[in-house]
Amino acid sequence: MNTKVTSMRDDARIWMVGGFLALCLGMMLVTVLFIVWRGASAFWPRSIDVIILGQADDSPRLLVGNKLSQDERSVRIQTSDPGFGTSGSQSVDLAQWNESMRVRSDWIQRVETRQSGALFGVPLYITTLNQSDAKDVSTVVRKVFVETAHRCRVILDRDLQSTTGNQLELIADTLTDCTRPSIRRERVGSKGDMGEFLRGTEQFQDNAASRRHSLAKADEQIANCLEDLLPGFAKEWLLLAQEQGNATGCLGAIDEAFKVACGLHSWSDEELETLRQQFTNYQDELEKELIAREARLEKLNKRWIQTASDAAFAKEMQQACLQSVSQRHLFELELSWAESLLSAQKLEFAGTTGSEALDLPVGAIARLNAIQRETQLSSEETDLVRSLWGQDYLGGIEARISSEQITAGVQLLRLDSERKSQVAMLVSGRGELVFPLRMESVPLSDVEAILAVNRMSVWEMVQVYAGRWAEFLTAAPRAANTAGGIFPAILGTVVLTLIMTLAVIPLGVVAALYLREYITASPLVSLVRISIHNLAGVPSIVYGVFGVAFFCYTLGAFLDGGPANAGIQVLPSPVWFVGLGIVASCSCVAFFCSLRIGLGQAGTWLWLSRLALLLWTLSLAGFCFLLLKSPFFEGFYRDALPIPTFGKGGILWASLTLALLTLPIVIVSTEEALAMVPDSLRVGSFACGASKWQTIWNIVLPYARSGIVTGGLLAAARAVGQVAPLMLLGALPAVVDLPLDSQFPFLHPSRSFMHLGNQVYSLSQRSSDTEATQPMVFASILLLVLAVASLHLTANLVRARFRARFAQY
Amino acid sequence: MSQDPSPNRLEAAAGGKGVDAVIHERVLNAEPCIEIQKFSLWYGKKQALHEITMPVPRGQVTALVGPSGCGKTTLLRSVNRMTDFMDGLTLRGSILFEGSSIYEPKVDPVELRRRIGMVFQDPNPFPMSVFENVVYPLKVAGIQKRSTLNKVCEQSLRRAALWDEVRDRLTESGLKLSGGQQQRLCIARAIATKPSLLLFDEPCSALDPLATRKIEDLVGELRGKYTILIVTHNMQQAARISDNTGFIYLGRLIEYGPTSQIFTKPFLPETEDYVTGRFG
Repeated sequence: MNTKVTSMRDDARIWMVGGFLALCLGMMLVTVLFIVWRGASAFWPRSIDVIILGQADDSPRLLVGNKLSQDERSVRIQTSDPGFGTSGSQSVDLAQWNESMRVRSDWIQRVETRQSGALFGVPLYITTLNQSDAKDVSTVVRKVFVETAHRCRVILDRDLQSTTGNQLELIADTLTDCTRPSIRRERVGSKGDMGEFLRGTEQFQDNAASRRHSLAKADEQIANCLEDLLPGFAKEWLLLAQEQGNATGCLGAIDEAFKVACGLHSWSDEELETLRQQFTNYQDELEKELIAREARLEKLNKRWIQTASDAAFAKEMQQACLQSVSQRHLFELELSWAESLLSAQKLEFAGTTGSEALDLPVGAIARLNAIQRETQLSSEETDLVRSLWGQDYLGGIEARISSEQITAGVQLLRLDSERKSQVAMLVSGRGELVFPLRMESVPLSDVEAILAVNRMSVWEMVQVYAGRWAEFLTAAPRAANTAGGIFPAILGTVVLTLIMTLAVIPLGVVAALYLREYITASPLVSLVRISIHNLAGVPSIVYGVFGVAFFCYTLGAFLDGGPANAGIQVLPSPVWFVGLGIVASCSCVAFFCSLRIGLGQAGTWLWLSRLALLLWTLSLAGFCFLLLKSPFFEGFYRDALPIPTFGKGGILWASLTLALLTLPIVIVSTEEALAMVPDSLRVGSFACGASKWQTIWNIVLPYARSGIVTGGLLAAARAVGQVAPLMLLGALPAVVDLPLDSQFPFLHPSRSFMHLGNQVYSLSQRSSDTEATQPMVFASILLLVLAVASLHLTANLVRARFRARFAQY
Repeated sequence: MSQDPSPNRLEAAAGGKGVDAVIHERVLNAEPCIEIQKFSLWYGKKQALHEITMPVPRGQVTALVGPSGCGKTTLLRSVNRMTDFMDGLTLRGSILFEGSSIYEPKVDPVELRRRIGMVFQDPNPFPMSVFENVVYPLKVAGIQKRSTLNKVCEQSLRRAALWDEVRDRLTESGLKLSGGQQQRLCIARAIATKPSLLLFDEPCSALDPLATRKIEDLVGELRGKYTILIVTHNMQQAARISDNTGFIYLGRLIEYGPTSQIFTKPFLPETEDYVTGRFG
């Protein structure tokens, strides 16, 4: 009975202890999972959303981009921000946020640029001017959904045409998955090709039609939702219905297109008839559809008035309705894109056919002036536009086509006249609104990839993901550290750790050997040992400050420009020579003492050997002193002054500082390893006639080798994770010249460097847009943690193997 | 031969008094390899050896017996100056090896140990190959010639009766051998430099009877070629393998003489009590 009580009491304690253990393990697990999850998912291509802000009112705000994070007050969204040269993130008030207003559009694509981050939008054209750029197109366009940006335009000089035929085919092949590329060759003054025009227009019309169809479908859906809703929603619904009515405006576009086609070119009657037929057919179709829809709306209106149901159900329906509405907005948006493309096509066609100038109506001139102000067209460009627009065309178009669409067209013209290889895009402007549409052009050489993320299959996404990791590990950063790779940081970390290890292991091992093998225990030795253990606990920033003060400002400055530069008072030259004489004679005496000891029998000359040691030490100290105080040394890099070479942070000084920082680790672990060498081995070796050093070299050190390696690995693990001292000692978020490259002398010890840990710090704290750098930060953290973990793991494996191997002792 | 009138030397020793050893004439008359002369040793303030005088005849096996902690091993280690590695030792008296005192300041202890082989209680092969183990003493003595090393290795292993067992495993780690083999490997290592004196510090205490038997046989074979000083606490072993036996008690040599006499009719009843197992 008694034992049972005790055991129960113990049970409680065990549970308590176990609970704490579980708590600790749980926290560790959560941390590790967090790091792994965030790091591994950093590069997964995120789907692009169209976010519709505000409820269904007349002019909804629309944002295009990735949702980044969400807290209790706001939601952050990454959007295009070409105005600032980086992709920007924007925060949206949570009150405005509605998950159901977040929809995906297959149209939107992500263009990754080298310099200015990501752009979200719809690519219009990919224009290439020469062969090398054409090659770029095939590499850049990973999966463009060019139904939207329906073609790749290759504008070539006439001379090149014959030689680049294959090139065109190459591009055509690249883009076949996406669409039929309409490859246009430059023609100056030639007449337009009716067939081509028809094909292009047809395509755009198909696009527009399919959008309209979607719109109609969305309306139907909304109508279905509304059927059973409370009358309170009637007003909202009516608004929607009104908006939907705007779709009828589409009909006008067809008219215009026809007018353009007729007005600009004198076609044969046959051709004209075909064209007319085509347009008329399409118009009829649309009209029929509209009439049907109106009828349906009428019917639904009646039903709506009759219906009244319970509140919960109505709420549910409201949600469904909102979703439908957001879908509808998307379709509307896509329709406007389609129309923009259509108008751009028209303008372009007008441009290529080179139609004769016509008088413009007054309204059109005012319009054009407005456009000129908006787009800051030069007068030549205005003339160009003026010459392009026939009267009929303008007369018809004025009412319909929006200034944004014309702007887009003008931009296209401008791109053409600039003769640059570009990607032209319709983007959401400066992270603000999708309306009005904005036209952006990106030089093709700056484009890294165009990804139609929302259209990708899982396999394609995996490919993109792997590609991004590969780039991350092997490339230099780009777009202000928001994309690209961190290879320079990996290289810097590796070089830093290697130099550090090379410096710390000999020092640490010799110190530990002396402490463990040579001197006998005494209070002084204990004090030294305690000091070493304490050194391991000194904050690393203190080492950093020491490194800056000693290595950079004293040693480095001394190397750069001699004692004067390092602020050391030099000796007058007679005094210096006297000092040199003293040191020289001192070392001479020491030399002869050593010689005498070497020749004589050991043990006899104990006092002599002590004297020799003393003299050697004095000579060395004197030599260093004289070197520092030399009036003749002018430094190695005097020419470069006042720009310091070694007198600033660099990879060598950083490595040596880290070596000091990790010295205690190596000493302690080497001492432990030496303590584990069984005395019987030492005694056996002595009994074989080995001297102390022979025993250490042949028996003790090989036996302790694994322990020393373990110490080195642990030191490396500590060094890899250091940031604070490196910030003071030359670690930068971006460097041009790497500390290790292919130029003689390959290793440049005075150069600044990049470091993984420092990269995490500077990207997460010092970056102008911390949201945009987040994937890089988490991927770097993952890499860093993996490096440290693998170093520790290796250290443990080495230790385990060592134990197994010498299990006998 | 000096006879002490005191009735019981063991009681005298326990009382902290000095005792005169009974040393048989046959060992005194033989040609000595080592002469221990009035050798005393202190660990700090504790005296471990009390004025031991003891000649060790050349070419014979001399065993040191006595209860645990009586100073046998200390005496043995004093002979090749392994005592140098202990702190706080005080020595008095002298030990002559081949006629010259080994505690003179001029003597290089490293050089001395090359001329004296030593085998320890626990087998302590180095964590290296069998071959490297055997030639280690040569290598540290500066002999690098491969042919010499090969020859010495084979020779030593043959003498240590280990050659047949390890001739195919010379490159294997010495730690992979069995306990008895390891101990014979240590013997081979000890005789590699052809020393004239071998010190055995209870070489069989960590071994099973079969391995013990082999070591004992080996000691018998080495007799005559080397002077052997062996510490053991196994009376039967001392009786089996040694020519002379010294009985040490509390740091004092009690009786020292030919093994046959010590084990059959010693001068002192104390010795008889000890060797017949009535005490100790």
